[in-house]
Amino acid sequence: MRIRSTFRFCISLSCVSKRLKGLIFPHLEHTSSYFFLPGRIIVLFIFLVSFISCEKDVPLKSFNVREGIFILNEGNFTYGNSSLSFYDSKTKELLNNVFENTNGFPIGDVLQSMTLMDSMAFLVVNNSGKIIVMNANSFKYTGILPGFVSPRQMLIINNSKAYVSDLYNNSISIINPVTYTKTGNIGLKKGSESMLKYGNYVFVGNWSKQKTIQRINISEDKLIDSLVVTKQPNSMVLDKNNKLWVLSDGGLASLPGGKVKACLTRINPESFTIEKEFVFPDLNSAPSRLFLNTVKDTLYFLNGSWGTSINKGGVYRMSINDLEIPSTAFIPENGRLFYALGVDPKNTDIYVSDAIDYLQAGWVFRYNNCAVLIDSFKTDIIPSGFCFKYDKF
Amino acid sequence: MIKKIPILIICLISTSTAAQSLKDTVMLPVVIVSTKRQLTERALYINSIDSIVLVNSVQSDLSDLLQKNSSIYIKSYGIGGLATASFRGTSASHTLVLWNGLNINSPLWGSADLSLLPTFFSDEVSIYYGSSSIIKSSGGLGGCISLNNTPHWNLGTQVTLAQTLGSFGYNLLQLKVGFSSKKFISNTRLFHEQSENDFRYFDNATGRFDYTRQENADYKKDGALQEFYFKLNNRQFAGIKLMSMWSDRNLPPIMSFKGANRYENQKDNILNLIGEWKYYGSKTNWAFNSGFSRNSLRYILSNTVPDSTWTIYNTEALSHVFSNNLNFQYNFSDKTIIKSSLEAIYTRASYFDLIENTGFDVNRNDFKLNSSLHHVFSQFFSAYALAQQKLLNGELMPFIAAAGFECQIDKALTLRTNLGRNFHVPNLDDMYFTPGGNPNLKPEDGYQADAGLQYNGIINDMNFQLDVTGYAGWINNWILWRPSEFRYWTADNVKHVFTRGTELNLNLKGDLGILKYNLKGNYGFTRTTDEEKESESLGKQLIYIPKHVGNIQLFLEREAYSASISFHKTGSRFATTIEEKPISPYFFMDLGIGKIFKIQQHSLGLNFRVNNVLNKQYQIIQFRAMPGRNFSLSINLKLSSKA
Repeated sequence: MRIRSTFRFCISLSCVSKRLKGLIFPHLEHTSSYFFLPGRIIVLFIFLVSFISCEKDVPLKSFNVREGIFILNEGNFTYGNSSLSFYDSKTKELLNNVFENTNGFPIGDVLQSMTLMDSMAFLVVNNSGKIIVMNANSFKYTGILPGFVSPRQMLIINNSKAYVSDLYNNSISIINPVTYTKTGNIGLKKGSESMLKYGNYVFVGNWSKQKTIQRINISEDKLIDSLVVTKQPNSMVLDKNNKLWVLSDGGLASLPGGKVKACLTRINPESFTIEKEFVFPDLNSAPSRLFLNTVKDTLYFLNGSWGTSINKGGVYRMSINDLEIPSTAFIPENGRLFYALGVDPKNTDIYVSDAIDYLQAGWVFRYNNCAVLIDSFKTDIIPSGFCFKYDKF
Repeated sequence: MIKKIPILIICLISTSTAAQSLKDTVMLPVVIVSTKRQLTERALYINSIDSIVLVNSVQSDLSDLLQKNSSIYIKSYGIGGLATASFRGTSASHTLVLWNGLNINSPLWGSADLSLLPTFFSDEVSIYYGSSSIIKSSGGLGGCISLNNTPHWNLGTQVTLAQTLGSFGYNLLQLKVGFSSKKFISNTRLFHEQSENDFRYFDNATGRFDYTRQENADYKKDGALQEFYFKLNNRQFAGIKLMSMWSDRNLPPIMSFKGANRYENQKDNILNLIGEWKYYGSKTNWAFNSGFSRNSLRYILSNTVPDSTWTIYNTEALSHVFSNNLNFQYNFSDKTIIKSSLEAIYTRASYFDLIENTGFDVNRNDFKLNSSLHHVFSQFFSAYALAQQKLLNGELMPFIAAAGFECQIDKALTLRTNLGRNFHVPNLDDMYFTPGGNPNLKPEDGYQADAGLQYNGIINDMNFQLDVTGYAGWINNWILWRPSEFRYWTADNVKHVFTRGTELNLNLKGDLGILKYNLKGNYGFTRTTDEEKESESLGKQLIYIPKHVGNIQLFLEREAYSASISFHKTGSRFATTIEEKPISPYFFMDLGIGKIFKIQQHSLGLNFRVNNVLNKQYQIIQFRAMPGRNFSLSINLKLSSKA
């Protein structure tokens, strides 16, 4: 269509140029048209560049999925190039860029996390300050919650309430996940990251340049107290014995106060006191992404080898009854750069990502619970999280 | 809110005497004078922007000028926003920008923001491609853009003033007051530009699929340029030039942003000062210049929610550069010239993050010795050779060398070739940023060669000039930031890049009776690939570098009337390092018409422009909106004491 319209435009321009030549230079009207070479060159150029610039409209697609794994590709900060992939673990079929292919517009800037509630999926888009709501089966866009500062994670409390943590806004937002509205705030006086619900409490990790876990009363939506842990608690889980486990990376060497040894802390959520600290022996360790298996008696995390010089980096596994941090990796990195970790709640398959140079589609590797590689595939820029979508099991 | 000012000040501006000659009512037949360039520029690949283009572009900045008049890729964050240049697939820090010989690239980031350099402030703009840039200075692995102010003696007193009003609250005021006698010149140029920049664009990034208005993109810029020239005697000249720019720009978020009220602002303050002394002897020429450059940048990003405001980034960057340069030229004969120069530069730069309470404050010293020999072997063949050695903080830098020759194959056809070895010192930010800076970075090392054919002759009464150049180059130790074991990114010399391509420049001039025309075109094909052996992007085009860039312009003049039409096209770019996710190419067309009213030796000019005539929705950087069709009207008045 564009080629034809451009061609017509060029023909009409050529006719106009001939007519102009006749008007401006009547004495040249019947002479060789070579004299109006500039006009002909312009016509040719317009035609060529318009031909080169033809774009094809990409048709939208329809999907209807059931069970599988969403891979969140966070993209590059300020570039707005995050995306969502979907992987069927039974058929090993991979669908990339499912949100944009379904809805015709991108997710936004830095897809930080994803939360499922019934058939709805909430995509927390950090640097776009919004939460996008889509149907988890069809990927169709259904709504948006705008107006956040730097949203990170979302925690469903009940059918009418959810909490959204924020990196820079020193409070947690309270939202209604059904009406897509913001209903309140809980002042924390600190940035917030991970959240975990236990009984009538929500525990909040204060990660970036912080060193506390804060406890919120859900009924009153109010901060009750806080507990000091090792610097930068980034993730937490609740085991089968109802013990809270918090993983801290120890901070950054370049910031005031420097880096301390990373630590895995076990906390009694009732008394809100520290029961045991597992200190990582290597000062350079920067562990993250703490998860549990389905029966909640085994911990998994990434022990930060972000380069090739530390050869012990990889996925670590330990029992909740172990007395110290394991000395070797369950799944070693072997020169790769593991960025994200996910543990399949159905079969305890391990998913890890490698973002390569952070400027191209990253790898996702799937291992079984015996650390055997089952599958590998490429998704999009910086695969940074996994969200498991299963019917009840 | 910036107030819209509907004031029409009847003033005139004229920035070039060449523009006056185009408006002369005496019609002369086309006479093509084919002149050779001066000996010290033979064989070099230099493209000087025509004076007619500078006059037509007087309301624009350097980024707009280069985008329409060269094959350089201009990366712009929007109207009034940051704009940098990339030659031959290299990075913005590999483009050297010289202001009257003074290097004005930021020592912190290595690049120069072209949106802060108004065309109005330059009398000459020349582009040196590839290794030809070494003749001016080192560091331009891609090339060099040279901006110059030149004296024009004995013109009397001239006052020129112009106002331009345009779409989206655009208002530009330009004033030039000049006094020029046989021995003394004073030129003062003042510049004020502001815009609401609240253009409408089609939102296809949030699900609205409708037009919306750009917000938080307003800006203000003020600038001043003062020149003094002294003719001390028939052989000695002196000059002082001072340029200052202030800008206050609000930076809009990308199109997909839907967060809390965001305030993102950048304030730049630039000061460039140079003092020059020149002596022209019968055999020897001497020149000494002393320069100072100060560049400050203040950046802030905050979000406002109903109860409070959170400042996320608040940074200050400041650099001072002092330079002294002694040049010597010995003319053995009219066929052989030797040039030599000695340069000393002191740089002090600092960067502070006021939120994180981190930063750095560093300095460095450069000494450079440069020599070049230029020789004409015959009427048809000339060549040059150059050698340069630099000491950086007492450490010997890689040796620089360049050579080239020019061969006139026949009356109109010239073959030109250059090759050279160049290097670029690491930017201070790459070395000292916290966290991740690497003080042990090595210089980036580049080798480049190019060969070109230039046809410059007459075809059917048209002055026809066509230049076709092919180039190839290799850059080692390209500095790249990448994730490290410490969970933050660090800078390292990791990349090896192979760059090659073609450049084409066309210039057609002539007249058809009383109508004068000038057709110009540029095209660049760039194939720049990552050659790092263990990389998954081996052999792939570098990220965000287009393979195709082209433009064409036509200028028409008939007595007091003028018209211009220009087209620009940038091809697709890849958004990953392995040639995936192409970003759409973009294309736009601008039109302009004007009329000059002559009143004795004074003149009044009117100019009306339509930019992006086809109202194309395009993005130079993904998800950063650009305006559709927009208009501007300029009124210029020039008062001159001499005819």
